[in-house]
Amino acid sequence: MKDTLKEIWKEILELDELPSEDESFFDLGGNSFSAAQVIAELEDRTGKTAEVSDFYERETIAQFAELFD
Amino acid sequence: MKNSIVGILGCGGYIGSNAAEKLLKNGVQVIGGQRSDKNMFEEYENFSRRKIDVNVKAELDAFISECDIVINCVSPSHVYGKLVRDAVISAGKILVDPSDASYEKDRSSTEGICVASAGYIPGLSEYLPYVAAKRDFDTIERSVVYQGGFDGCSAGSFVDMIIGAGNEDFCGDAYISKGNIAPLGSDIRKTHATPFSDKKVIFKPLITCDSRKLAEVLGSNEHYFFCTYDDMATLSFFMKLLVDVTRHSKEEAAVMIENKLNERIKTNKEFGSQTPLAFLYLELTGLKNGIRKAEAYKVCLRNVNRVCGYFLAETVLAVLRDPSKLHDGFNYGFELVDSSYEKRILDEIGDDEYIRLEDIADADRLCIEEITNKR
Repeated sequence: MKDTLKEIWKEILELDELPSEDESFFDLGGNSFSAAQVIAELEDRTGKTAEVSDFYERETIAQFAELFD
Repeated sequence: MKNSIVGILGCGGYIGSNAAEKLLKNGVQVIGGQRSDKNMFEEYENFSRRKIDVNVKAELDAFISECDIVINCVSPSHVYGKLVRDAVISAGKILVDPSDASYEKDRSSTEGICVASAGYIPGLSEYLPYVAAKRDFDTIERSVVYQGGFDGCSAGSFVDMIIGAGNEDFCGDAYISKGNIAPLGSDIRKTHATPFSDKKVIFKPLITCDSRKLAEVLGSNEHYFFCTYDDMATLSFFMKLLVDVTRHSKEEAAVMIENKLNERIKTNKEFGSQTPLAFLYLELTGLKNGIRKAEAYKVCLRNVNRVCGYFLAETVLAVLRDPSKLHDGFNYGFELVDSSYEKRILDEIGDDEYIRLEDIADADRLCIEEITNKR
């Protein structure tokens, strides 16, 4: 899940390289709309979903991935 | 343009019928174009009706040829906006549009004479801060517009609204700082008490082409526009629809949005069932006679479609009174309407509606710093 999230974040946030597990989604330039885009991509690739508000509770990939443990 | 003929496409709709009624009461010669055979405005001698399918070019062109000004209220505008616009402009007539959905981001390239942003949002939401700023301030340092509430629109208008909000002209989580768009985060988990709603609401920053134009004409150093939502579930619902717009063609997205709207209405009976009530709340900070001051203004609308239709008609009346205000290309409705209309709005609405534009006490003002978390 973490690797999938890294790929999705890189794509949606147009990052040059994969983010680390501990970087904040918002510090990397994310916002509520890009959060919704990540969720849509996540649903397509894994069939799992989340809420936009989850990004505010869990700003890093390490924290966000815990939702799916 | 005293004896001009105004054609209204979509004359039978929520906004078109209200615009028609006001123009007719003002003695304007109106031709109503609609899909159905339904009779309307029979009591007015200055009204005539044409049954028209805008998809049939010959019918559309024939309608336009009878008019000097064409108002486009055909829904959905993401399907018919550009089609009507092209036909009106190629016929050399003036087009007036309550929305701005069918215009390019670079409005300097707009051909013909088009008046857009002449409805509620965009339109009234720029007009009111514009007249308040001109009346009460010499210079504006900060301008804030808060918008929210359920506005009881049709499914077609709802789809238009989402498709419009999902296009590249909109910048979510942003504000305008000295003419430039800058990121602006807000914690969407937080709800805030406001002077305009019984419920606590979530604020979501958004910048549009019209916000940029308003900030420019106000000369505002900082300009904010916030949409408000009653709860996280509603905001999430809207956000996911916006994502659909970016991932699919307009046609595909329109079908998906309408289906999801219908699903939501079925599963959540409260959604869309509230009494229509929308509001605008404005806060302006600036200088008057060298003294710094801040003022707030509150507007509540119990019938957005009517107020929107009336503002649209007022824009047309402004053009008819003084066509020299128009220039080639894209004209903003809010710049054309006379400032005296702010007072006259009160005379136009019914007993069950109200609209107020007044100063608000210091204690009731919203604190923008509490709403946002500038990162």
